[in-house]
Amino acid sequence: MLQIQGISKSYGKQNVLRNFNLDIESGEIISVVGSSGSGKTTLLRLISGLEMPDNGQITLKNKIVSSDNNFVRPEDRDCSLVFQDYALFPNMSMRQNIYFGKNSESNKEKIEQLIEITGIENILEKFPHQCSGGEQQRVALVRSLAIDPSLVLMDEPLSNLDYNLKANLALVIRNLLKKFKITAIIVTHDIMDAMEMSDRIIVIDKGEVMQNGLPNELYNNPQSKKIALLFGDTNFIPLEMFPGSKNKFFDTETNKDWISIRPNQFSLYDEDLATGKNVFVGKIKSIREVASEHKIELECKDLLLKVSLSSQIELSIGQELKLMAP
Amino acid sequence: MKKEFLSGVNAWNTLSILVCLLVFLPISLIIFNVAAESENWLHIKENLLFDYILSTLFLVIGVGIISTVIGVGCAWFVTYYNFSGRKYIEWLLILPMTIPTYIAAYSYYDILEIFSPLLIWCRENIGLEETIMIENILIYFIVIILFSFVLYPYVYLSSKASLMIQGSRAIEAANTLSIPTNRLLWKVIIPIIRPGIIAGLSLVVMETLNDYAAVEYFGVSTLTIGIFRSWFGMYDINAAIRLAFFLITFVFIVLALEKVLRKGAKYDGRGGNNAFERIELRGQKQLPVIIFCLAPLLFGFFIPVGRLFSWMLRQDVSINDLNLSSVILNTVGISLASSVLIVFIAFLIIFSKNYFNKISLKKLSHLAILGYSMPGAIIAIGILKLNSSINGFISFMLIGSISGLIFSYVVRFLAVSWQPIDSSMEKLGSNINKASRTLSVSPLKSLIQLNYPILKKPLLIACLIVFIDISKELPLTLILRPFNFDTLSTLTYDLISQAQFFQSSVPSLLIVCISLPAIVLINRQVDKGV
Repeated sequence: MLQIQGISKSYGKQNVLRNFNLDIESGEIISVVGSSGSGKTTLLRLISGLEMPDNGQITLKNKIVSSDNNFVRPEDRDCSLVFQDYALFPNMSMRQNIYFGKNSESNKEKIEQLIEITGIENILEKFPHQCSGGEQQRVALVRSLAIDPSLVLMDEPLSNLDYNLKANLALVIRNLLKKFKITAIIVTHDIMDAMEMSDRIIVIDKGEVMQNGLPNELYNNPQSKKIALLFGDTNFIPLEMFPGSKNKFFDTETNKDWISIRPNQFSLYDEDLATGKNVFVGKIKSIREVASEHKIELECKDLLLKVSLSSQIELSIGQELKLMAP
Repeated sequence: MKKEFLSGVNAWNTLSILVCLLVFLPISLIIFNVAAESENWLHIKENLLFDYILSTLFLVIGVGIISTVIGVGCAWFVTYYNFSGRKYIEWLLILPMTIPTYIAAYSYYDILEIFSPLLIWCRENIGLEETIMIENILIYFIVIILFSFVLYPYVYLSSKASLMIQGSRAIEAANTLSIPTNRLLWKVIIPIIRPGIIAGLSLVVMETLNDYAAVEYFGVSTLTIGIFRSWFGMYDINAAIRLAFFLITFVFIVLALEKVLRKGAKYDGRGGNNAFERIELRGQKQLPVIIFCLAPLLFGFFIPVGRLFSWMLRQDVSINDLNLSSVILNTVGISLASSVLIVFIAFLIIFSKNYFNKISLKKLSHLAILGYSMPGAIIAIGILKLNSSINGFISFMLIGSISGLIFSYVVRFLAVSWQPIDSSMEKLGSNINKASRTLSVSPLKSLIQLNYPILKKPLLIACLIVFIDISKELPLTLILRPFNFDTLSTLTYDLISQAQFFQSSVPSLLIVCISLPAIVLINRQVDKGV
């Protein structure tokens, strides 16, 4: 469906994307994850045709849309973009927004289904400024799908929404894309959003792919400390302490093999379940109670491990603790 | 460049680029022809040029300083303090904008008579040469004060806007830190609103450089006067071009200084809140502030308008003698037609620039809007040169024709309509048009159904501003108008040239009347944030 071969883009002296390659199958939902300035939004703008790459080639549905000698304008690319700020047209009602795109009138049946699935029937006659962020987001999504594009690009679709709305909408987006077998690239800085919505995650940093894999692969086998940290707090433990560990990775920055164990992956030692697991023994240095968990700092040999355990377990500072982790 | 071509040559961009080049053509002709031979240049260089430059410098510096003091002072008082009549004074302070510099000058035509006893005393006690020198200094002083009283609203409006948008948070923060007012003004407010002050000040300088009739009346020999004399007096277009080049250099220095002083700063709307608590001034404490705010209003608006009004009542010439109905029709007709055309062109270029995001068009559009920085005399000379260069079948369309006059207005006033449309488009964000493109919508549909409805108000405001500017415009109209084609400004000028001050009051007041409602409307819209 989409092949990106060796594209680069720089603004002045700043290289935003370097020799970037990507291959996406039809119907796949891909998330591109990275921190601010990693080049993820630029990638979307290059695919949509709003920017031209310095080098490389982009092929969409077997048609070259961008290369050294060829450039197809955004309006002729058959791919739509959902903007981070939604970019709804302020002078039009939500219905007019949805039906503004080319040939959208001929997709009426599909559009009405989209409206029903996203639950925006009641706001169609309202104007953007009269609607909430979540409603605007859903209208922007429906508008982009109304032209029946081969590929939908989404720039941080959930970043402006509150926590409750996010979880609900992530599911709506995924179900919608899957129901209509739409290929999509979602750009986000939040790996948890990516985990919920996508089939495959690509982590990029400084314009280069750091890891490309299934969501659980990235979670369990991060290929660098940076990727491991995207999923939240974790403990980096030198591999030589537990040479038999499966979830090892080589970190290019430290030139060392590590294993990553998250605070909530620890549990109290249980002889029956301990086979094949790493065992840690140490003294509690500090305890903080957060919601239903103890957040513990555990001194274990030369390591200071961060551990989360249920607050129902009675613990005290200085107490010796024996834990196990995968 | 290859990328520009790869992304597709389209009619929108090509047309916009051609229009930009055409609009820049008269100015570029002056730059390209600066080395052309001129038989009078040696005489001008040896006897007049120094005076022209010195007079221009004196005038610009004097008007700049006094307008800034008045403009910033009034803006500070109406924003920071509350006093009797503040609400009315706040909007009355823009009224001098309705009076062109030449009308203000004519309304004070006899001002030198006030100083006659002083000059007679000087002649009898000091000497003739010294008296002439004192008289010259007095004239400069009068012109500087006069210009400042009618041009300060540019600084006032931009400073007030900066204070409202950017200063309000700083004032609130300073109030919580108990910072004394003086310290707050000099250490916090002035540095924050400096870009706004500089923006207004640059407009004051441009208007000062543009004036022809007022300085001519008071006998101040600026570069603009020199250009007129070279063309009308000596029929030496190349000498006029060289003087115009000096003036262009002057303008470029002002523009460069503006850029350096602003250091790329732009209005920043973050934290804008004009509802902060003003300091209450009561009793005698408020008197100095009220006097400071009313003085420029009195001298810049009420006295000139009052005098014009009293002249109108005293003179016995009927409206028919002045052929006023056709003059009004000419003024309104050409101003309306030109303003609609100018706004249409500006809208087309700004839309293309924003929609297609082409670097070439973005850069060229900077050249197209240079016109407003250029005094009318420069543009007129550029168009005369264009006329003599093409010298073919279309040359009849340029000089002494309505089409030529409208073209000159496009060159001069494209930038005036540009600013409100471009800034509104910027506020709107470029994502709107990008979204439209990714929805495969055609540019025409996007222009008509998306951009036009959203930008209707800024377009109307741009149209009004250009309409006012054209109905007041004098130097361009004077040089390029068709034979027997009078506008209110040229009629005023002609009547003054014939020393018919009382009769000139009618067209002068009509210019003020045309500008007044439009300026009030614009100010309201600006206050609403349009």
